[in-house]
Amino acid sequence: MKLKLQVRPELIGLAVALAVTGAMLFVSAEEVSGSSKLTKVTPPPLLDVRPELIGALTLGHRHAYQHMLTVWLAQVFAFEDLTPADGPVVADLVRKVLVHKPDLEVFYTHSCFFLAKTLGMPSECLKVTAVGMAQFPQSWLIPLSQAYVFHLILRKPDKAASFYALAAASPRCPDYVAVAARTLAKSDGLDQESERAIELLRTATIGTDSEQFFNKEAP
Amino acid sequence: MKASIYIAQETLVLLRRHKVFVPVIVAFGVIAFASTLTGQLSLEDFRKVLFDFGSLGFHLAGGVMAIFWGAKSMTDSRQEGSLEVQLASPVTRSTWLVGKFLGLSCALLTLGVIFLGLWQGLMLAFDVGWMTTREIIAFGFLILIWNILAAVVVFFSSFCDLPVAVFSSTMFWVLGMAAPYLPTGLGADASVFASVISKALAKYGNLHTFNLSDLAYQADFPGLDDLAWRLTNGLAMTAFIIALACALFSRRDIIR
Repeated sequence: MKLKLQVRPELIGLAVALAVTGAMLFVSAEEVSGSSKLTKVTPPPLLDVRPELIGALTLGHRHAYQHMLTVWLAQVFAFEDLTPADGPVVADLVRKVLVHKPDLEVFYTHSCFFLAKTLGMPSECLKVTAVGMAQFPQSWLIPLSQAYVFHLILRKPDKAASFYALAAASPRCPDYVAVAARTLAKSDGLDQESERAIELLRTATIGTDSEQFFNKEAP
Repeated sequence: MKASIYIAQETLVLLRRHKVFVPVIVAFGVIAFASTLTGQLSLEDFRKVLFDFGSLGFHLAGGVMAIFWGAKSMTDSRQEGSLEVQLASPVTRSTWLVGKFLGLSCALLTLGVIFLGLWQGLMLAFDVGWMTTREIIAFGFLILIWNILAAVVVFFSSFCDLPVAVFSSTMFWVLGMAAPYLPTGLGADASVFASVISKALAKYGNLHTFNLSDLAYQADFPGLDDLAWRLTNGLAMTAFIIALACALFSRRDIIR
């Protein structure tokens, strides 16, 4: 008996789709270790894969993958009863997502506030906002979030002033941020190093729209 | 030229009979569901999520259709014997091949227009308005990628059977999309040979040149001269592959 094998294009398509789905399920099989609540969190597929490879795997449409990541992380943030004890696990998840440098400004501010306020890890904020500021150099919301954390949570007015000034240097930043930076910069308690940092920022803003605000008097 | 147009029309009719336009409806449904679901959950602007998923689906669906139906259309002609009949008339092999490519190209263009029409309908249904010029340009360049893939599949189908042509074209697609990441992905300890090959691929076989989806919402969207250069580059690449296919097809035995 002669067996005749006919290759049909739709069968090849189906086989490719099944293979890709299987591979993605296999890659995402590992669950997050940590507290009991977070052990049920399954990371999205390819989270640990290098961003360059993600670009190739998504045929250059890495933004679609980044949407998946940020939606997933927002779901983790929305977990009920997360306590500071869950902080290290969540911070690790944020760091993994950060590697992919999501092209979403609100992700950086949201993650920063969540780590600082809900999980009591304000020092982790700088790692998030540093990536965000590199990704969005024109953003004033990201440095403003960091300034808020330094100012009101960590109580470091010198560093807060630097970040308020950085936010105020953005052309789209509202005027009140510049006022906050000026007020803090002129307040007592700033050490010499901080004043040097602010002087550096003052020099950096020469020729920009924000050049004037350092020279104005705080109200 | 006239003979090429007749063959293109025949190819288009055959593809239509194979219900090539049905998958676009299915693909549209799947992509629309995935993008609206993610868009409603995402912190990002709904319109951008819709565009990002739409362009990914558009790219994938069109690429797969270009490869599968291109290979099928070419190998069917050989299996049914229509190739011999057509070549018995005063039609050169190159004319026949160019006609087949043009037919496939027209089918892909029609698929693109149908898909974009449906997508615009979805955008209006979700009250996000009309597509911007940048979005239309980005979708247009994805259709250019489909056409390059169509040329590639015509090239491989001119001397290979269906499975080999599908596999080789898919590999070309994947390699073309991975090309810009190869030189950096290899690492510092890669051999000189691998490094030279990856750099050459990144320079000459880079399909990302025509993928503007990631730039549609960025400040550094290419200007008119850059777009014209990319378009010329894509058309030249397509013409080169088809010319290569014609040269190979003219010198080989078509009966196996």
